[in-house]
Amino acid sequence: MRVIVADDSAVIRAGVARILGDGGFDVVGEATTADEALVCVEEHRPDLAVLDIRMPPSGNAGLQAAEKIRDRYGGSTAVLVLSQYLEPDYALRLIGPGAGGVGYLLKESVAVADELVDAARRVASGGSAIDPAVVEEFVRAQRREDRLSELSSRERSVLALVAEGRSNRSIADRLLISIKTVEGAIAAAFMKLGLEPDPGDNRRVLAVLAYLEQSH
Amino acid sequence: MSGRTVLVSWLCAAGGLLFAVVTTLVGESQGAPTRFLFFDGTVGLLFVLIGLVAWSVRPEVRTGPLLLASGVLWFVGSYAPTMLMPASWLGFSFERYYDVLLAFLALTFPDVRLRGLQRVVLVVFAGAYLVRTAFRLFVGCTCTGEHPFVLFSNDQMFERSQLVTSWVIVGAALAVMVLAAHRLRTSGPAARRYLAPIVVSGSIAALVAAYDAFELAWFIRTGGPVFDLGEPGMEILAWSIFAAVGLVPIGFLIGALQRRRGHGAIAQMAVGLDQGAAPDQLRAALRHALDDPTLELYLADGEGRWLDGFGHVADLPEDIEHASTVLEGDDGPLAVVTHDPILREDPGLVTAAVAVLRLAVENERLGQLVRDQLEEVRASRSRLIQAAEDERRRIVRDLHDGAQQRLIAVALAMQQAREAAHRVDPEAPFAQRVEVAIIELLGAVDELRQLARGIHPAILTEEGLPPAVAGLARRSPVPVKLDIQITERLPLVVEATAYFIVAEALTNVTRHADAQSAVVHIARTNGHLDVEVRDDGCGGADGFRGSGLLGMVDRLDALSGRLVVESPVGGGTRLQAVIPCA
Repeated sequence: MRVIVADDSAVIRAGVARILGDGGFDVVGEATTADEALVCVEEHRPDLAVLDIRMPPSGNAGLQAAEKIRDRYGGSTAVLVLSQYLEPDYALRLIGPGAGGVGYLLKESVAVADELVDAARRVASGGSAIDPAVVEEFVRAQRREDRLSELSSRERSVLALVAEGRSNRSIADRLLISIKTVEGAIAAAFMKLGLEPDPGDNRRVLAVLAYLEQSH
Repeated sequence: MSGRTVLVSWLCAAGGLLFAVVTTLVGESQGAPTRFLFFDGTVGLLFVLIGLVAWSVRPEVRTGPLLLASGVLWFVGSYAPTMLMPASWLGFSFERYYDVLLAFLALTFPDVRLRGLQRVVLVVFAGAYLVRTAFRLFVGCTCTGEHPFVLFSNDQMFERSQLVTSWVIVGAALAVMVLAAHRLRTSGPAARRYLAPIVVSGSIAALVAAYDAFELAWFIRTGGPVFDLGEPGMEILAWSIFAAVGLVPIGFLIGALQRRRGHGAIAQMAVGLDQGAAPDQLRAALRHALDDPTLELYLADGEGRWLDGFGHVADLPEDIEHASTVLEGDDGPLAVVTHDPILREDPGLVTAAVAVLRLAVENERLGQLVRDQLEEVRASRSRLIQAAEDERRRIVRDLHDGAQQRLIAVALAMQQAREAAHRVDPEAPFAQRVEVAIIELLGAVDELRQLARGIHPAILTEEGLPPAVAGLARRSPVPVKLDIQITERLPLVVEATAYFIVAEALTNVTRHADAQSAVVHIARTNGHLDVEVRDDGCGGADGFRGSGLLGMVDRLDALSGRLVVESPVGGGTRLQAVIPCA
């Protein structure tokens, strides 16, 4: 898999490139600004672009570049945004129509073993990746008289992992349960929340996040 | 009016009354006709009483005492027709001295200095009376009979003296009339109104004096009356003269009361201006109080320029010395009033008006000073808030781009070190310790992020109010319904103020309201941003006390906004902030 890395901090850019390289990615380009990142994507047409959310020329230029890449090269180039902000709003913006191939990870994930590579792989293969802390922020907003409370604790754990963009297999591995159990929990949770039955890995992330965002 | 002056005036009045009573009794015992006694007494008493009134009403001018003295002098002449020696002869010698006092009043009322020609005329007038008196007292004449003051007798000398002094008196009295009329003619409208009755009265008195002297001169020359009207014509003429003289004190009273009205207008002016006043209002009030439509007011603007009655920069008129009054302040003149020169003849009136003006001008100046300072303070506070706002944003940016970035880089490096150690020896205690350090570090990054968001959320700067407030709602333990009717970006300081008000309000809802839910409403109306947070909690919030809202009130003040809190016990709390936002 070919990837480009864009970050205005040389240390982090190098670190991310190295982690991805170690994880089996082929880092074909690096950029230090949002505009460079766009040029770099146009030039190399990578499978994945990893972008810092804050980049020159201003503020959240990285996020805007990510949205552009998603809109322009959706399907061929996936985007993973590394963010300093625990802001569900940004994650939602990035997921957009929910076609997959996008990810929103807190930047410190780079220092957690495998997290970055794991998310990068999911996104690059057309899935989604939302940082657990961001999902937690959504879930935390649900407190009372809310249908989430009708879920069992297993259903809730499964739902959070769904919202992170994980596949049923990955969820099963994480929770040390069978795929069947995962599928059963998802179906039960979707029904209790009144959501359409599991629409598949990508759409269901949006469905769950949108549900969480709207119902608070 | 001081106690001593009151005493003196009452003593004088009592003396005058006593003199009047004694004179009338004497006249009656001498067999004078009742009609004569009545009119003679009435005119004299009018002078005495009106003198007393004028004295008590306007103690600062000479009108009162002079009228009172005129009354006394009037009764001196009443002894002339009696048979009592020497009172009869003294009365004859000193008759009509009140003419001099009345002429003096007509030319100086209310309190003006005599000018050149006026002084000459009055000196001649008084001199003629004195000379006439001297000859009547000391020079005997066969035509007048025996009396105790005669030093020598000379008929021709006596007659000639009386003739000459009479003609001089006629001339001087007519001159007094002319001068009084001239004084009236050259007065402004203000002075003319109160001078008119005085001048008319004084002229009547002078005319009667002239006629009396003329009649004497005529008699000496011809031995007969000026007009031989026969009876009852002669009697009618005599009574008419009496009546005319009786009008004189009334005229003086009218004049004195008119002046009083002027002072009353000053009091009204003070009442009208005690709230401060614009220049045109000041000018109108002065014109009204001083009854001078030509009056102009110039106010110092504090920068060495003069402002006219409309507040425009203007030059002072050229020759203002003789017709202006300057209001002096601590740092030079505050105001110049140009007015009818005649107003200087009543310094009391102009002084009073200027004193009132001083209050008004000073009041206005201090008011302006306070307003300017307040505006300056408000602007400075607004700048401070703007600066603090910018500073917060800068700090947050530095935290995100500096410290946070650097900590992550450190965590990244440590992660590499951990992996390297792990590859060498999966059980190495070093790798485990680094792992713990990385977890601590990530905790620090998380705290740093929360700190930054508390100082000034980046999403507010980057994306504006709606997503930032949505974040607040999401993190609020009490469910919050959002009703946000803006999509556009607003000035940063307005956005930040609205954001922190909502944040404070939601914190209070969580801590104190015991609410099931809250609603945040944000809308833009008529140049204002309306921010409302209400809950369904227990209410009874004590204003802004003890909460972070106090800081919000200051902040809103600086932006000319306002904050309202309604919190009836049991009725929930509603907080509304209105922030100007063009």
